[in-house]
Amino acid sequence: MSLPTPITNVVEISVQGSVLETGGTTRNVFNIFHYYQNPNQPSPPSAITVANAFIAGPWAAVLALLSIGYVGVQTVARYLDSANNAYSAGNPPGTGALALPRQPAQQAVVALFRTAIRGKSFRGSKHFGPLATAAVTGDEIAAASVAAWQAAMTGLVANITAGGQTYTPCVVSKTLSQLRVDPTTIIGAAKLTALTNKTIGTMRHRKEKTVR
Amino acid sequence: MNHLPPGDLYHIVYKGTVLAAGGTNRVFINSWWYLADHLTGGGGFPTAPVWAAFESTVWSQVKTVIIGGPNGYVPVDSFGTIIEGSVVWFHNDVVQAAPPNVAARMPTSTAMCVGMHCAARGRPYQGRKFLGPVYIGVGGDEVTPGQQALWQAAANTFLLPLTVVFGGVNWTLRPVILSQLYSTFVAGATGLVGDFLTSVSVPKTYSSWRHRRERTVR
Repeated sequence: MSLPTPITNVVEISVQGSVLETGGTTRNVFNIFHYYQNPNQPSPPSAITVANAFIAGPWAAVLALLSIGYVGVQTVARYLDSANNAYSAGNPPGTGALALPRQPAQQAVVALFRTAIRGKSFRGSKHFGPLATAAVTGDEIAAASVAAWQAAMTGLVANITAGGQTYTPCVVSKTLSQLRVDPTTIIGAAKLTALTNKTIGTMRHRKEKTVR
Repeated sequence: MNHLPPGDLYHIVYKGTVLAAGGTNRVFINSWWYLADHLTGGGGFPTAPVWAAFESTVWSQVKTVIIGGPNGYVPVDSFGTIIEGSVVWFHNDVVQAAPPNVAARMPTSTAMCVGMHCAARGRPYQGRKFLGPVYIGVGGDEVTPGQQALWQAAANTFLLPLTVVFGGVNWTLRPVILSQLYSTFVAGATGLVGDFLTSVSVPKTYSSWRHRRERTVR
């Protein structure tokens, strides 16, 4: 299989939040997103500009579905095109909107992202949490929240506009790309669809360490 | 290796199902090991009385802390084996009461993990039970002190011996951790590796048991 043409002007946005767990410790809740300039144009805006557009747009819809237990810490972004590009901080990601009580921190809504190219390198997934107890029924997202989650996930595969230019969400293959030294080669593909699992998933890294 | 004294070994298995939100059933199986103070030969051991004793001693408490009802734990079967040295007998029983608590529950993959410990050190002498489905009213990452006390009370029953009278003889079955990796099942029951259960621990945090998770629904 030949690799797709490398993409350029790719912004990596790291949305960093935390959850204060019942035992008093704080767990990190990170989500990473990638956008690439499409079509390529001269003078791309800064990574911060793209990150801020993301926070104000697609992320706001996600934030509205998270428990108030989610506290945004910072958003950092950088262009992957040079290994020497450092992260810069943009607007913080905000706080979840839904009232307590919440589910344990490891419970998450899982969404899968598909591209036009087959293979694991061109698929992605995201785990969003913590979730409000009221937004979950048994094993699944509460019926009243399903449409909102699907809409929010659809927003994550839509283009955003930053600095007058268009950015397309993409899956970046960390396996096939070479991001360590310049010149970098970024292999990825545009996200086409988002599949939202109704079934609640787990993200065990976010679980509170066992308390006895 | 820490060897258990010779005796009839009872493996008590409780099986139930939980109807997941998407309409499929998830199987919940938990089992316990007990060592009798008798080693019979060719049968002649109590079965139904042992299962009844387990039901009244252990399950009667466990069922009060897990969630029952149409969307909770529904008993299916209780069965198990009796191992007399090198001979295995299968026993199918009918007892298993349904949990009385009908309330909203956490996803089926969420469970209370009860730790089981012996005097002997090492992994062959430790055990765990994942009990569920569990109550949703956790309100964060931990159960409340009141809920933890209820779980601890239920888990403490794991330590209790089962006593039955069968054939005019008193039988005492003590709970054990059996190492299925190191034990050998030979005549005379001299190859049983394990130890008697001495303590149980109940964490405040719920654990996950992914085999029981509802299959993905989109």
